[in-house]
Amino acid sequence: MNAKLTLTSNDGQKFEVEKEVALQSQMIKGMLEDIQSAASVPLANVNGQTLAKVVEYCKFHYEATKKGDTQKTKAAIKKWDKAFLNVEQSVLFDLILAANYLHVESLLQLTCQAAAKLICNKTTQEIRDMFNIENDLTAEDEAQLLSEIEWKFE
Amino acid sequence: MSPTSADELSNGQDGACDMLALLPAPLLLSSVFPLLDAADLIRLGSCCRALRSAAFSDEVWQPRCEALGWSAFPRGTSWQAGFSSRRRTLCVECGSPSRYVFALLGCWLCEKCEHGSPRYGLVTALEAAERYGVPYAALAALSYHEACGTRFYLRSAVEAIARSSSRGGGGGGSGAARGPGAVRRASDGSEMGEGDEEEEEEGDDSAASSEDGNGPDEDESSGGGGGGGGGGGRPGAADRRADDKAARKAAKKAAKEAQRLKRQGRNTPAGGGGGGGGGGRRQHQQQQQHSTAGGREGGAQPHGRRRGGDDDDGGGGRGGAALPLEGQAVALPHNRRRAAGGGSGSGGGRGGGVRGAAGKLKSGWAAEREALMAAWGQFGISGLVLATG
Repeated sequence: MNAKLTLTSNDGQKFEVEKEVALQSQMIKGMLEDIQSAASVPLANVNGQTLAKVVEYCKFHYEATKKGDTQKTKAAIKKWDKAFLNVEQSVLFDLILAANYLHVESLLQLTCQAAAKLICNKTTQEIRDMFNIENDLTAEDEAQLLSEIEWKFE
Repeated sequence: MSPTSADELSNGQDGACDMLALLPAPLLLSSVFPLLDAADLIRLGSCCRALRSAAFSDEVWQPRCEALGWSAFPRGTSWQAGFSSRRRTLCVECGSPSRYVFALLGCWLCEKCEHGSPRYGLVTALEAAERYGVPYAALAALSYHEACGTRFYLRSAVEAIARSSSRGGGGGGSGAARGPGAVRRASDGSEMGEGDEEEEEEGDDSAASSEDGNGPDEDESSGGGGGGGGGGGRPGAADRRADDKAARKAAKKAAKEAQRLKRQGRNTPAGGGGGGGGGGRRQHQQQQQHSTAGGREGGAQPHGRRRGGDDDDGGGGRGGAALPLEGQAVALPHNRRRAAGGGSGSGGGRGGGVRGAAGKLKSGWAAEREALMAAWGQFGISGLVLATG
């Protein structure tokens, strides 16, 4: 059962992982169900840097779940996740995309929560600055939109 | 994950722009938006058009509305618009239904949240002057909520004024007496300030003021003296503040009294409202109360009353009672005033005496509150009014 699987990113980097680890990705799982004998999975939508992170995440969580569901491991996982997410925004968004593509549900949740955290409790302008969003709304549009939350004080 | 500053810095450098647009809309809708609360979502949606169309879509808001049991919005309104209009009629803080609107801010609010958040704190003009050092003139620009015949200002607004004026609120620490008319911050003790006032008023009357003083004016000034004397014994700033509140109330009463006297045909000058210090006011109030009773009797026996006034100076409460009825004892203004000279000198003692005599008078806050409650049947001050419609 310790068969290895080789994941290949779109820039040609190869990651050899245990099958069990890779099966956390629903997408890979589905693929393997189709092609039982596959030993290598090309992932066209994920670059090497991101895939490295994803593999790191999957490996850790695979080990952690093997250890059992105790209070201690839960705390350790939480801590690890936090450290794991301490990355640049662009990496974070790449991770979200990759998690979405690979269907790693827990990773997707984790990263989306981090993204939501970035957004919440910020003014519109702060959000724009943070993500380099160009404001293509007219002033009236904006006023009208913000009037929608006049029930909430800044 | 914490958005470190390094993240944000590098964001500019690596040329990644429009990060959220890098996430496909379906992903945003399915994974990110459900994690945001409504206000964040709307703010996000106000960033640009692409985000607006995503963040305001029915797909996002319908589940939210349905989760709250809100539905059946008028035809043609989006779920988002429906949500906002509905949300607007709920307490802005906790989102629970409320019958009240916080008048000063025009938002719905429940009682609990009003008292739970400093944002909705109210101050009276006197408190603004006392604690924050904001002059009355500056309050004119603020909107106020009028309840129980008193104007309440938003505490945060008053604080902002206090901050912007370089003086910085000395707070209740300074015991300077300020009347509602003229706020002044006497740099040294309250006694000094009151002394000044006393003098001014005495000057106006062209006679030494006395507790016998006729009409509210003189009363006021002698009251100030009493307050000064009495005030020395009470060190606490809070105490003084409380006193001032009582004083303000007393001043109001005094003004009413003055009007009443006027109506009765007195020629007493009605001015002096701006005057005396805290303690003085309080005493003043008492004097006024006494005077109503005493005056009637005084009208019949002016001489006896005069004597009473003199005694007063020496010894206290009773004198106060005899005092201010000059209006009725029209014949004897001069004598009275002279007697008064002594009175103002011994004001301190007298003040104490009067206060002691009328033990039922409570200090400051409590008294004011109680009076408000008695008059209006409501507890504390609140900026809430019943919502219409």
